[in-house]
Amino acid sequence: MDQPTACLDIRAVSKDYGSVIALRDVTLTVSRGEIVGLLGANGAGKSTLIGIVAGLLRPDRGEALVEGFAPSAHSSRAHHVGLVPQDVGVYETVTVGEHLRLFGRLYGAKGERLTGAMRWAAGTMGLTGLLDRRAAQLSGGQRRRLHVACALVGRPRVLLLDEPTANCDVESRAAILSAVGALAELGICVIYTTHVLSELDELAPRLVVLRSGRIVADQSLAQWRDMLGSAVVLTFTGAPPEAALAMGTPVDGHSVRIPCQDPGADLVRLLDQLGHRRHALRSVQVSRPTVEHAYRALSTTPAGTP
Amino acid sequence: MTAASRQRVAALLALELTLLRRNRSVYIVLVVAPLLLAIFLGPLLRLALAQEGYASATGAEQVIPGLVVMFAFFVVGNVAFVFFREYGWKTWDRLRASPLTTGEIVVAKLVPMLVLALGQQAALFAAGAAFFGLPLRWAQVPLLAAIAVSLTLFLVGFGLLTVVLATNLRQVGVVENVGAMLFAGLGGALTPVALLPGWAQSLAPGTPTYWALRAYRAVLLPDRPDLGTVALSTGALCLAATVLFLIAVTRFDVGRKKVMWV
Repeated sequence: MDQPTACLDIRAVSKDYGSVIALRDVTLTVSRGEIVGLLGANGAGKSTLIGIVAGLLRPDRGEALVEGFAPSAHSSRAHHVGLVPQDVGVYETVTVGEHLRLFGRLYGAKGERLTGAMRWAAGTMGLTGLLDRRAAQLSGGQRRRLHVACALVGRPRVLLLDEPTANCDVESRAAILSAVGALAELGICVIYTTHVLSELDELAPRLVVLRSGRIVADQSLAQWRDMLGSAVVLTFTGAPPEAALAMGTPVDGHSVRIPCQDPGADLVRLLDQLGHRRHALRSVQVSRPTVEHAYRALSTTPAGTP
Repeated sequence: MTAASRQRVAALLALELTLLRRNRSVYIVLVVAPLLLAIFLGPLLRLALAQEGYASATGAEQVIPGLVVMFAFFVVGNVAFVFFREYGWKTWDRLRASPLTTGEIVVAKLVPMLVLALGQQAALFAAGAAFFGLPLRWAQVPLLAAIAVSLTLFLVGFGLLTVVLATNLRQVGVVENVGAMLFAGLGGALTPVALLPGWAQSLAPGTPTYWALRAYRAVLLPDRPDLGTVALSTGALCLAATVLFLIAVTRFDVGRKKVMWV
């Protein structure tokens, strides 16, 4: 049998809830080791798409193949999917170790492999010292990390993270983001949804934007950064000099935004061009496009635009 | 059943048994509460049995099986709880997304409930013999076990159907509490059926309690080791259990939106 070329292959998936369109002809192929930031406003269809990939929902049309397995091959397919739902789901009176043992066994691990998978998941999520602690005794951040660890212990090929850092403390957020990057390097395909867009700057993912159930944009963050370009914002003590205004666009009564490809190198040239007027400079700010910039640009892209 | 399927069922079963072991309040409701009630009901039901013609009865022949069938009904609530708990702890979707099939989830959740219900009935009969003067002989044990199994199958089937129909635990609570009282009263668990009003006597055969208690009395009361009654009663309970399971299984919808509390 040929190896599937994509880890996740979503083909023309549509889903309605009564008269409400949740997804319409969504097609998406994700390779091993790729991180996809799935973005969109509430109700855009993100959770529905994740539910379909996880096998929790059936699409009205189309199909979502995981490692080549269709939803009908539930057990085989589910072995490859790790789901981290938006709400933390843990068994309150069960210890961290018992959680990991349960999910490891459900995903087919036993013996040394199970022990290794438990150790790896606990280590990845910083839970090694908490194995004997019951979920009810964990802090909010620790519970969130256990929630993620339960999805990792089965060693999935596709990891679905639905707002995994919601209500997290700084340490837990850092641990989760660091783990996501490391998992992608191991070849795991990650679908990541969040409303905290700054998290994705660190992961530098491919950005897929859903609007009203349709994919309206699908580009890597690097591509969007190239398209949006960087800029240098020069702020003066008084009105910006003519030389500065000639290079860019005024932001307010004191600042000028000057687009450039390489802010570090271009800044020297800009200061030279200002000549003696550079003494009126109050501050220099380098502006690089973030995921938020990209998302704003992407989400205003008309539907159907690639 | 494949080896992988057995491993999944065993993993979830281990979790369910761990959760059951750590939820000690269950045992108070199922075992301690009926024994407390037996202390107060025993003298009254001794008189009731004497009025029925069992002059040498200790009263335990009525009060113990009566309370067994009455409190066994609370297993229905426990069956529902092990499913609705998953909604409360938000773990249901996680189980569904795992390689577990729906059938495996149901089996792993119901087996501990079968054990719980049988254990409850065994504990109450043992306590009845030890502390309440229930005249129990070893020869009666297989018959009592057969009745307990048929009643348990009915109750677990009823519990599964409740899971299918209810959308939250409050609804289950209504079914469990009203059902336990109604079936206990009509079925003769609190007062022998012969002493009930005529209208109640005519309704009694519609309750599982009636059939279970009829069988228990046929085994326990003096001069009545009536195998025919036991066979008829256990058969009726098993038939009803089969119908309940068939309806529940065909209508089980894992994707239906439910909440633990409203």
